[in-house]
Formats: sequence, C-alpha cells, structure tokens
Amino acid sequence: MPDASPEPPLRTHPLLEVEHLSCHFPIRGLFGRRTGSVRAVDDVSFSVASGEALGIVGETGSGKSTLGKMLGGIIDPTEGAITFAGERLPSLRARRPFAVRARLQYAYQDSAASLDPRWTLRRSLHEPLIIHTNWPRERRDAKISEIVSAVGLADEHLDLYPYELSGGQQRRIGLARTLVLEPQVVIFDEPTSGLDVSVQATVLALVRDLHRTFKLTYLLISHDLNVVGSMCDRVAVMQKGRIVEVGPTNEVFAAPRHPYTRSLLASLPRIGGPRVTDRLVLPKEPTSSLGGDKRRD
Amino acid sequence: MINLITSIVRHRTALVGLILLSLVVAVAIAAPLIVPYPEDAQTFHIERRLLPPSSEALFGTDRMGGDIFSRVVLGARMTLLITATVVLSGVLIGVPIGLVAGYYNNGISLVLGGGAEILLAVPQIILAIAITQSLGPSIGSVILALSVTYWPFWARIVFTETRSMCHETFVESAIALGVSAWRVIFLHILPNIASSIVVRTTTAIGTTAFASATLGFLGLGPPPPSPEWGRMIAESRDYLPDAWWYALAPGLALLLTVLGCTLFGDGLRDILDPKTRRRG
Repeated sequence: MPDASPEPPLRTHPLLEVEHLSCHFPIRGLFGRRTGSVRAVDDVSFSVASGEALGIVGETGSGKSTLGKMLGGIIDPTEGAITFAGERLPSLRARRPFAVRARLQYAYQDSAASLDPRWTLRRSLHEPLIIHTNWPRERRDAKISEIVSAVGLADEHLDLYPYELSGGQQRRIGLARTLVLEPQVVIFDEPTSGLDVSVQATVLALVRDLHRTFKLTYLLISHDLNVVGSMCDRVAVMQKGRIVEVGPTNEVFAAPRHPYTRSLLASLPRIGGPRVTDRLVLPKEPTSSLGGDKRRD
Repeated sequence: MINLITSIVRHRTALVGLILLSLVVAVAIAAPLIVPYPEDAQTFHIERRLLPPSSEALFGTDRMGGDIFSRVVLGARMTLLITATVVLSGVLIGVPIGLVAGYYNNGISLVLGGGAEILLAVPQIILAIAITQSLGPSIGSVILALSVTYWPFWARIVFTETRSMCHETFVESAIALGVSAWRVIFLHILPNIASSIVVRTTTAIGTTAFASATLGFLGLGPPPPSPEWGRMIAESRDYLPDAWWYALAPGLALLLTVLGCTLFGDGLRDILDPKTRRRG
C-alpha cells in the first residue's frame, strides 16, 4: 500500500507513543520575570513499536537529550502526552506510576554518573531490585550475577567502587543497573560518547545483544550517524527541538528528504572524502528556537 | 577508616589540632584525678588569695583563694558539657532541617530555609545574650540559648550541599527510578555530604566553646562560684596587671580548645574534600 506519510503504518500496537510533546525552559530577566523561553523540544510526535530500535539524531542542542529525559521521567514536559503500553502517563514526573519507572528507563549519557560514588557496585545494583521487587537476597544476587555476566563483567568487580573501574567498565555497570529490572523500553543517551573506538564497538555490540536476548525496545540518542545507521531500524532527525524527518534508517540515509538531514549526512567524515570543514553548512547553536518577545544572540 | 587515621597523622595541622582537642577532652574526663584541690570549686580560702604561681598553686590563686589550676581543669568539664550538648542538638536539629529543606522545593523548604536564614541574619551572640538574660544565668539557659542560635549553621550548610546533590546524576536517576524520598535522603545524600557535616561540626566545637565563655564573661553563664573559664577571665580584670597570672590559665585553656578545633577542622576539610582527595 503506497503511503505518502513519512512514517509507515505500524502493524503492532505502539509500545510508546509521543504526541505533541514540548519542553520550554523559561528565560528569566530581572526579578525572575519571564522574558521568553527556550524551546528545547517543540511539538514532537512519534511512536515506537515493541521490539523496535529508533534512532534520534541531531546536533548538540537540538533537544535530543531533553526529549529522552522527558520520556524517562526526569524532566516534566511543558505540553503533550506520553502513552506507554496503552497507558497515558501523568505529565508530572512525580506522579508517574511506580511500575512504569521500572519498565521505561532513561540511561544517562555518562551511565557511571548514575552510580552513587560512595556505594559499591553490588549495592548500586541491588537497589533497583530492593525497591521494585520483594525478592530475597539470594534471588537478587542470582539476578545480579546474571546481568553482570550479560554485560561482560565478572562478579569480582561488584565489590569495587565506581572510580575503581575504567570508563568502559563503568558504562557496562551503568547499563547493568538500568537493565537489571528488565525494562521494556530503554532510552540510551549517547551510549558511546567519550569512549575510544574499540570500547564503543563493544558497548554497541552489548546493546544489540540485549536487544536480541531481552527483546529490548530502545531509543538511541546520538549525534553519530554511523552508530544510528548500524543500530536502528528507524531514525528521527531533530533540529532545533523539532523532528524534521522520520523514517526507516536505510531510506532516510539513502534519500534524505529534509535539507537538514542532507547537511548532517554530508558532514559525516569519510576517509578520502571531502574535508568536513570544506563544506560545513550546519547552522550554529539553535538561537532561533528562542520564542517569546526577547531574543538572545 | 585506617586510611583516615593515616591521613590525619600525615597531615600536620590536623594532627596538632587532634592532639590539642584530645588533651582538653582527656583533662576534662580525668579531672577528678588531676585536680590538686577539688574542693576549690566551691569553697573559699581567703587566707591564701591572689598568690602568684608556685609549686603549691601551679597557676596561682584567685580572689577567693581558689587554686586557679584546679578551677580551670574543673572548668573544662563545664565547657565540654555545654559544648557537647549544644553541638549535638545543633546537629540533631540543623541536619534534618537542612536535608528536608534542600531536598524538597516547596513551601516547607521555604519556611525552614527562610527561618534558618533569618536566625543567621541576627548576630548569634546577641540573640544568645537576650535568651540567657531572660532565662536567668545558669548552665541550662546557656545550653538552650546556644542550641537555639547555632543550629542554622548546620541547616545552611546541609541545605546548600543537599541542593547541589539533588542535581547529581545519581540522585536524579534514583528519583526517576522511584527510590523513595527517605531512601534518597538518608542513603544517598547524607553519606555523600557527611564529610562537610563532620568538618562543620569540628569547627563548631571551637566556636561554641568560645561563645559559652563569652556568655560566662558577661556574667550570663553558670552562677558563681562554679568554675567557668569566661567568668574567671572577667573576674581577673579587676586585679590586672598586678595579678598577671589570674587570666593566664583560663585564657590559655580557651585558646588551646578553640585552636585545636580550628586546626583539626581545617585539616579534616583538606583530608575529606573530594576535590583534593586522591582517587584510585
């Protein structure tokens, strides 16, 4: 069936549905008077089917992380609705149902920072299970051993503190903490940033394995088009808080419709290709997403 | 723990402070064993008043003929009792208030934080003088007055630290995961800010000892003849400069106590500050 809309009709019921989601941060002038707002995320709608991997790409400041944090219940949206597994979530994060917090999780860009620096890794991994299950200690230990070996670490690591691990190991433990509750949807925010290439590859392989083994649905936020290209079924391109293009990854990459997507793709560095700086057409930081009566330049 | 002890021993300032502080505490505890004339806390010996230091009275005698050394040693107990009680209640009142006010961002935190700020805006000693004055001079009123005026110091530091902790990723993610407020506050935030509280408390012991001596100096402390450093210094003014030894022992005792706490507090700050702490 030919369909003109950029998003192909989904056969399954969407697991996660986002409608007209916005997040505006106020700009305050003298005496806290509101003089305008930054539209970090502006009227974004999309849906994710169960078992799907959606990539979200865009340059720094395009609102990718804010979008992810709204989905993960870390920032309150200004407007719009999030529907998870057929259930519309309350807009205030404090009212988010307890069970949803385990099933829909946001994995921080620096997942090691989500570990308490004064806690051993074992304690950090026990915590999600303590608050979300009533399992006895032995069962939690067994689950933790399982997840720790799934992320490629040994049980001996569990008695260490976060700062005693390498960057790659910290990411793995951060992922383990997210995954120990077996969430249905995980939002990975730049899971590879700041890691060297070989570690990047292992982290991505890990995410792919988890996708297969646990039927994990995930959103992958990245500015790296290569990563998204290899990891995601569909991709959403964000610019200045809006989604400018959504579609299957190979289609979007092969025939980008939106000029911004084209410029993003053109800016990909390739060995032997043109120098990035020669053809850089990306606009600067999204100053034009400022609303209200005052602009800051 | 062993690491902490080694760092204190290596850190000269902290070590000196700790030794001074331990000395004062040890003297206070062992007072009955040290004191040569224990009855001099209460009784008068007019026949030997204002004698200069000698082998019989190490720091001389006062206007009532009491042995100054005995009275200073006994006074250490009083100072320590007042200080310990005030600091303990300051921690018990200030820390929970700071945690709640810092963690929540609502009317309650505004009231608690605002209350602490208002109390801090009034000079502590003036407020303490007003309270002791209206309650009458006694050990109890000094403790009450200082407890009421000193808890905001803990509340403020805990409030600021808690606020900044709430922006840490691990706290944010714990909250998003559904970890309850009391778990976040007591298991995540409190252990991470404990070192600031310890440093603040150490310094506060010195400040409180000084404040209690100030109240004693102004005649608002425990009534005579009970030995109190501040009042002993105040009494000595009438006999200076002839009886130069009169203020020496109590002044020295107060100096060493405050100095010990300040040095130990500073050293602890260096040792416990995560920014200067060696990693790995």
